[in-house]
Amino acid sequence: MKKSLAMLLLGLGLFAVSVPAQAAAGSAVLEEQYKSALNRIVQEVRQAPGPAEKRAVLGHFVTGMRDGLQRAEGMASPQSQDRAALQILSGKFSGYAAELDGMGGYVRVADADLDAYAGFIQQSMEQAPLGGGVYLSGTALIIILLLLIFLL
Amino acid sequence: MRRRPTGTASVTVMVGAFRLVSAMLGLLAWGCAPTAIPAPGGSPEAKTPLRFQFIYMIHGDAGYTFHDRNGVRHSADADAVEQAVLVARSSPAAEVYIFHQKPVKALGVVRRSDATMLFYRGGALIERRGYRREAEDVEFKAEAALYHALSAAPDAGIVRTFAWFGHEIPVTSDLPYSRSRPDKGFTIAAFAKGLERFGGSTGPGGKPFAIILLSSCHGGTPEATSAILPYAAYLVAAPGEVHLSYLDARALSRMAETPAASFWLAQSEDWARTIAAESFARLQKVTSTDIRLSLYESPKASAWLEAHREAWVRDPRDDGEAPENRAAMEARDCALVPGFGPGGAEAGVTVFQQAPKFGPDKSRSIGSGWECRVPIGSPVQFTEPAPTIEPAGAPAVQNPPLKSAPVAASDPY
Repeated sequence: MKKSLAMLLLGLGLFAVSVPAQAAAGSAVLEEQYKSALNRIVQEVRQAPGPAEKRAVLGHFVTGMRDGLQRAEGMASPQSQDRAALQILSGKFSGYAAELDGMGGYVRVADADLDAYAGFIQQSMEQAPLGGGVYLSGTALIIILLLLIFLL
Repeated sequence: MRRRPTGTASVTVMVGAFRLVSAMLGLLAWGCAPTAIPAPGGSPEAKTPLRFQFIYMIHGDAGYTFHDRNGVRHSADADAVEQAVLVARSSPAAEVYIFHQKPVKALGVVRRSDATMLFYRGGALIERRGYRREAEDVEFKAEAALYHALSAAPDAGIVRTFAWFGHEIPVTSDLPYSRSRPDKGFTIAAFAKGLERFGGSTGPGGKPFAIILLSSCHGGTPEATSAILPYAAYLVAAPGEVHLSYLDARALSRMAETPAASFWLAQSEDWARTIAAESFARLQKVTSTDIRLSLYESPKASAWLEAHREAWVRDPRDDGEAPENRAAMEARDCALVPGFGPGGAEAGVTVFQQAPKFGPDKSRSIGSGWECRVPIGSPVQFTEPAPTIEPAGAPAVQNPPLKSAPVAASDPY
């Protein structure tokens, strides 16, 4: 049920912004909402009582984003820039998930550094989500926002 | 795991709140229509001889929201205006021009003015004016015209600086830059033309500006620096990404306290270094992401770039290829590009860098001071760099604190 709802929301998101002009017009609101939702998750990590709870919140967040972005990537047109953006983003969240757990050659994030790690993810996502001067399209923003809402 | 079952309702509330705040901001924006405001405290004429001109160009027509460590929301462009006003009020020997570019529309309605200028002389606000940029104006035509109309400083003996606050300025205009002008690109070439519009040649080495501060991501590329260095004796820019809290230019107000412009001219390198060091120290305090800042000395860095021009791996978009035929690019330190060499001090670049606290780059140590764009999978040649890495630490002189106030539905001025 949960996965079906997520897929439905993602599908609606892709459909809703299929016209570029609409995406451009709505992107300011979307970006604000996206950053606010991201901030709420980071604050939730910081307010969690102990390392286990903090790690659980972070783990739920980064793996949820990773999996959701991968599913959305599969739904996007193969040649579209949105697909490339979603691929970059899902790769980033895969990296965050791996580092959190000490997988893939990363050193596991220490319990004492979990708040800082949440802040690091937030700063990375706010200043340059994709890096290299590539910006998020309205479509990608809607997908991310829907995922964040679903994860909150 | 806590999950909010009423996500849709929550979004509705958030959107409603956003619209309310937008409406309030829109009303305030109307209040910023062209109006000359008398200088506070009587005469607008400066009592101290003018020796400096500081020009701020602050882009606010894109996504500039960020959250600080306490979760407080900030608007980077409003913070940059606040920083500029602080400098302006503390600079009795300076004229300070603050140009704040904003969205063309508010709540879907075209504004009478899409930018605001604040003009200070001798520490006093002389004029605050809303102005409108032409649709095709991406080269600071409107701002340069205001500057030339208002400037009372003689050309001779005036030391000028220029500071840009905004997102990365692209090399090509494929992508829209300003959110409300999606059909208009902005390029580093347009930025350089904009610098030229302010004219002058009174800076060190006959350059128009003593220092140019580029507070944006990816300003420290060969393309960007080679375009800007002809206009500045010293350039401070970030080769990689820089946090939206931006660089710290508050040291400008201390420059204005120096006894004479002639003295300052001789010390311009020290001041440029101070700005770079203080920006680096501030970013160290507030961010855990990658921090790389470079101070470029104009003749030496320009000569290095010219001598190694063939090594720059140019963006294939420059070659006229159709988008679908262009190779995917990645950013890489230029020291890894065959033929570029180590850069760093040898190339007239002082590098301030701190690796990110997490992520795959946290053990990175190389740094030429430049970032190149290369096709993904390009061969790599590691050239041991000889950068001048500035030690971390607080600057010797503390700047006045910013309010660091959260974004509110109020006038940032």
